[in-house]
Amino acid sequence: MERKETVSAEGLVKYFGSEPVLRNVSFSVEAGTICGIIGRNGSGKSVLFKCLTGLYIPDSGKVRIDRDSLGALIEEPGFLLHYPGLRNLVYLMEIGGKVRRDAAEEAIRLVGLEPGDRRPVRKYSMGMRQRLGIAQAIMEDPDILILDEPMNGLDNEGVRDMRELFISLKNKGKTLLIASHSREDIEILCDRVYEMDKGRIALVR
Amino acid sequence: MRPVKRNLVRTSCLVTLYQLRAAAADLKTCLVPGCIFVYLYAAVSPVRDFIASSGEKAAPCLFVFLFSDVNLAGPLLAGMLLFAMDAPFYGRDRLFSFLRAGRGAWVAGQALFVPVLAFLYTSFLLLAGTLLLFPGIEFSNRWGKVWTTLAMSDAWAEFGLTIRVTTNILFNYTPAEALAAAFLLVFLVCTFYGFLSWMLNLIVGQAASLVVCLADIVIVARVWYFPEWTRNLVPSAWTDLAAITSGSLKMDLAGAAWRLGAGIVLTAAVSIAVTYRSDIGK
Ligand SMILES: Nc1ncnc2c1ncn2[C@@H]1O[C@H](COP(=O)(O)OP(=O)(O)OP(=O)(O)O)[C@@H](O)[C@H]1O
Ligand SMILES: [Mg+2]
Repeated sequence: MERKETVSAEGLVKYFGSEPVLRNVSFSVEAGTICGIIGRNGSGKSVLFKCLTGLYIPDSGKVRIDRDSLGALIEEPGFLLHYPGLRNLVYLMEIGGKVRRDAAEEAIRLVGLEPGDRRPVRKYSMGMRQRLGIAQAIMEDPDILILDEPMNGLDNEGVRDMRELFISLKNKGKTLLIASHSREDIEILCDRVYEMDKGRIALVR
Repeated sequence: MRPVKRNLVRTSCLVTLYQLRAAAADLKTCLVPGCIFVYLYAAVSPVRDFIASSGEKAAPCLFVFLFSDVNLAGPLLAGMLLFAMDAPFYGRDRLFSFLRAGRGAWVAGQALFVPVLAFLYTSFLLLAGTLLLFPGIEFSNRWGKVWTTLAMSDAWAEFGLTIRVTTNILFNYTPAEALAAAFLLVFLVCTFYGFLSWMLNLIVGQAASLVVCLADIVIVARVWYFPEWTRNLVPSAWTDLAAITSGSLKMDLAGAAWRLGAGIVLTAAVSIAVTYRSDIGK
């Protein structure tokens, strides 16, 4: 049986000035799988993700993705630092069109934080902010998740919990695209792995 | 899954609201109005002295005359520029809002934020103009003895006033009308400089943009020594209702309003179009 491809890119090219950062990047992710992207610092992973989410506009090439059902965390999570975590998530849900406070609370619990925590995000540790960023990505139950180094700053326990979370999301039929520097995460999580090198992409397995 | 079909107008307003929430905790949001208030407090102390010595109360119209002092007008407009200089408001904390709004609504929300900022800033100046005269204030729609004396006699020189209370404002407008007209002018000028600085940020970069806008605003203090016609070229000079009413500017209120309106539409259109076609969140 042919499986549906939910995310794909075809011949993406992106320049910053005269510097090519993406050179003819083509790849695809099957629905209900986890796809990993590895690559050295500066190889273009984050830029690729920004093109997929629509933040950046590629100079040429095509992206196919359903942005109405997309959750993402790219580079450091950016919240309004003076509000508590839950309030941040609710404000963001508002923009998306539907506020479901219970879903926001549930997402916060899923990433191991406390929904009742009234401290502003300013007082969160780096790992806590990262967890909140993941909660932000999953709270609206999107079909596609784009996560750029989601394990950044997490303790061992956090890494274990997130792996479990990602696998359970995949088992629910979600599609995940994850960039990571951890060979172990990639080994454990991913059905398919691409490697980026100086803006080019190649299938590894 | 986000099941609700998004409505462009509603989503843009929510993006603007999100910007306001972000701005609410920005240090700048307290610092700029705070400094302006202290500056104004010192600058209008002669008016307070005059009111105290007259034993009368004044209609809350100080706001109308603030911009007649060219040395006050500059800093007051520069205050707005400090808010607008970051446009388009890319911050790390805006990426999540972008993902939910979509490109069109997100850029529209940014654009809506500029007049909202201008409105809030103008309201702040109006409020400051009222608070600064307490307790010598009387809420009435007649000009009353204080403003009439300042306009007709040479009391302004005696008390060292730097703002000019002119008879042609008193004769042409009721206090409420004058406040409304001055509010409109200041609001439009602030909105215009907001979009101008956004547009120049995109085209020549933030530093050059700030220099150009500041020069344009500071020149209002100098332009009074230039030939009269030059004032017609500097929008920051158009906040002075007295200059417009007396005919020292070659435009009436409606003329100033439509020129500013056209300037706003033009700069906003360029800003929006360029932002819509650019990468978000550098
Ligand atoms: N907004 C930008 N303007 C100019 N150059 C940029 C911009 N964003 C990224 N780059 C450049 O693009 C290249 C790829 O950057 P990118 O952030 O995608 O790397 P990465 O693979 O995510 O690296 P890391 O593993 O460190 O996160 C780098 O050389 C970077 O300097
Ligand atoms: Mg990166």
